[in-house]
Amino acid sequence: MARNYFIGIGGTGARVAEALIHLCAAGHGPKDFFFFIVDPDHGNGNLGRTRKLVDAYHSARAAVGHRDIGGFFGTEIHTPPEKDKLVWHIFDRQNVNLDSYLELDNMRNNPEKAALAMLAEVLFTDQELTTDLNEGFRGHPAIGATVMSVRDDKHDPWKSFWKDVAQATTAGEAKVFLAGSIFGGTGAAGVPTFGAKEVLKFFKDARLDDSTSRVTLGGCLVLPYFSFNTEKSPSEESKMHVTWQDFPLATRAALDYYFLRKDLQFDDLYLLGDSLGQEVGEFGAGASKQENRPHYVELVAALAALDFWERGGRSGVTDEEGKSFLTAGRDSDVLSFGDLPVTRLAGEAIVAEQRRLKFNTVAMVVFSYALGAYGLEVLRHGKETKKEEDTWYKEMFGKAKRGNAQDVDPRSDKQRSKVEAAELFGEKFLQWLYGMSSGDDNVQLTRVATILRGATWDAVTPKPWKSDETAIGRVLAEGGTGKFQTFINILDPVAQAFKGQEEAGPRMLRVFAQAAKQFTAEVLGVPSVQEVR
Amino acid sequence: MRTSPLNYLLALATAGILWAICGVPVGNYLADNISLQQATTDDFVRVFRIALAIAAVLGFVGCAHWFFYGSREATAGDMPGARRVWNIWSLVLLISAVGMVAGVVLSFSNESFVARDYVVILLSASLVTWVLFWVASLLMSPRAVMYCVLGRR
Repeated sequence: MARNYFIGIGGTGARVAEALIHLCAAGHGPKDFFFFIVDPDHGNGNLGRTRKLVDAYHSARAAVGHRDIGGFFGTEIHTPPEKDKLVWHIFDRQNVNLDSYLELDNMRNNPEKAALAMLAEVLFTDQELTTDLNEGFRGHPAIGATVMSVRDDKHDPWKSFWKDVAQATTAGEAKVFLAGSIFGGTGAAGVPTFGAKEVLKFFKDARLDDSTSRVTLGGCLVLPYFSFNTEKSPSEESKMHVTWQDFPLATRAALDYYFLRKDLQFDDLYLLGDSLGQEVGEFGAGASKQENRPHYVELVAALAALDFWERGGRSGVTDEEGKSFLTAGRDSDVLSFGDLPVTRLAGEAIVAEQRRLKFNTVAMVVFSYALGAYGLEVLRHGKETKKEEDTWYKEMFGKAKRGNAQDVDPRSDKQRSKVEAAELFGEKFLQWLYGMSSGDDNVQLTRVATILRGATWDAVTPKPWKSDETAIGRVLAEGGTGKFQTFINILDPVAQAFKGQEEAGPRMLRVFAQAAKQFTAEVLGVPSVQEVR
Repeated sequence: MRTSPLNYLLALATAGILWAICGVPVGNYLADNISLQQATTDDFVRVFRIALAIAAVLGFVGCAHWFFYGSREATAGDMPGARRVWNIWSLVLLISAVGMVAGVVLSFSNESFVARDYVVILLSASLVTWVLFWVASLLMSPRAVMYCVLGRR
């Protein structure tokens, strides 16, 4: 059985990981995968967001006994055992620059190595040698390539990674997918570095013999796809940094490099980009100032990972060198589910997979909204409010006073926290979808803005359903009808048919999940589609 | 029993049966036992049965409206509102039962009735109004509102 691995490199890699986690929450992911991030920037805002997201995902799954919730959260996401080892920060100390990392002072004072020091001084500028690297490589991949080729395999995350890869027994069984930008710093350095023969695919723990590896290696290079406001403070002005106007030149140089390097070990390589240059936020050279709004290209990169894990390494029609080339593009500036490259398969398979993605995404929207706008409200009702419960609640939990209330009463602290864990993730899912489309009318995957309220994309929350009972019916990009009361009515027969014997919180979540899928199919008219294999 | 149109039909049948029980045997009982000085017992029983029929129709209308209200999509998620509607209908039908008694009594204002007569008339009126409504809503309410009924709350 294939083992799946995702290594996100740099800020773009972290955002692709974020998109991948959201897809898994929507039930669109694989059975499991192991992932970690590579980023020297300890405080990167994008990284911080991804960390919180994976924690929320794990909490949601833990709430239901580490299983799926009616098809949602179906993927088991493995991370290094130690919580703070999700990220390889490369440097084990602060205030590191290239000069100190290479120990150039020692080299300069050593007659046998003085020439090497001089070579370094020729290859790198003074600014590159002396800039603090703990906020990343600031758009200078040559620096990153120098430091990333030497890993710390004795500690996590690499330790757990290699331990798992070494358990693969057949050629190509371990499918390792790298994602990073081609135009930035960390990603631009990391992807080709990890693509080198001895660094990953034919590293000692991956090698089966001189010509066979346990690893099938996939890579996703993200070409320029966004811009940002380049006004910056005087303190930022003096630092080494890159601007979005530098991206095309950096990309061209990188593509030339990939074309010329024939010894990179990628089995599959995905190149993604977008020409619209969506503005995703304010300038930030690094650290917490670098937190960009989600972009649909990150979603496409995550879809590339899924395609790779499902079908990667298999040859289709190839040229004389055994390579095949596939392309995909939008027909117009507008992006809908029908424009997403979801699979390398041809013909009807693409349409089926696009429909499956649409169904899973919309159903997750309904599930998340129902929990946030209604489910938690139901749990807040109690004797003190003297409000009547809906029939589904009475039927499922009417006898909650009997037995062990902590397990059978969804309003107990224990059970409510389980529901809140899933609702918290659902809120982040809605924020992510909204972030992709806010301020960009071209991205028309959903209209989640109709069911949300809030000032900024990362602070929006579900509107109370009574404030606009038809909002959920208008959540599709193509419009539609439907009232939230229909969802409440669907809950009753779903609850009647539910046979699970779990605690109250997980039972409520599963009923909501099933009702969300039924509402999506029957009311919103988005049909459920089986996965294409 | 809670689905349309079965619940409507059952409520109608129940109203008819209750009217028949109250209108015929009870009506005959009243005819045999009531003391009238000016009106005939036939007149009294006729007025009694007509008033009972009007009350039964009102009782059925209450049931029908409750079933219609409870099956509306918009009712879902508004249980406090549904409970209010049920309470109002119960009160209206309770008042109508009393009103029926008053109507019969006023129709024969020159006659004097004993307490037993009032009780029998009131019980008959209650049976085809608020009792009909309560039993029908208890057993035949749409699922969305079945827990708004007194006795199931």
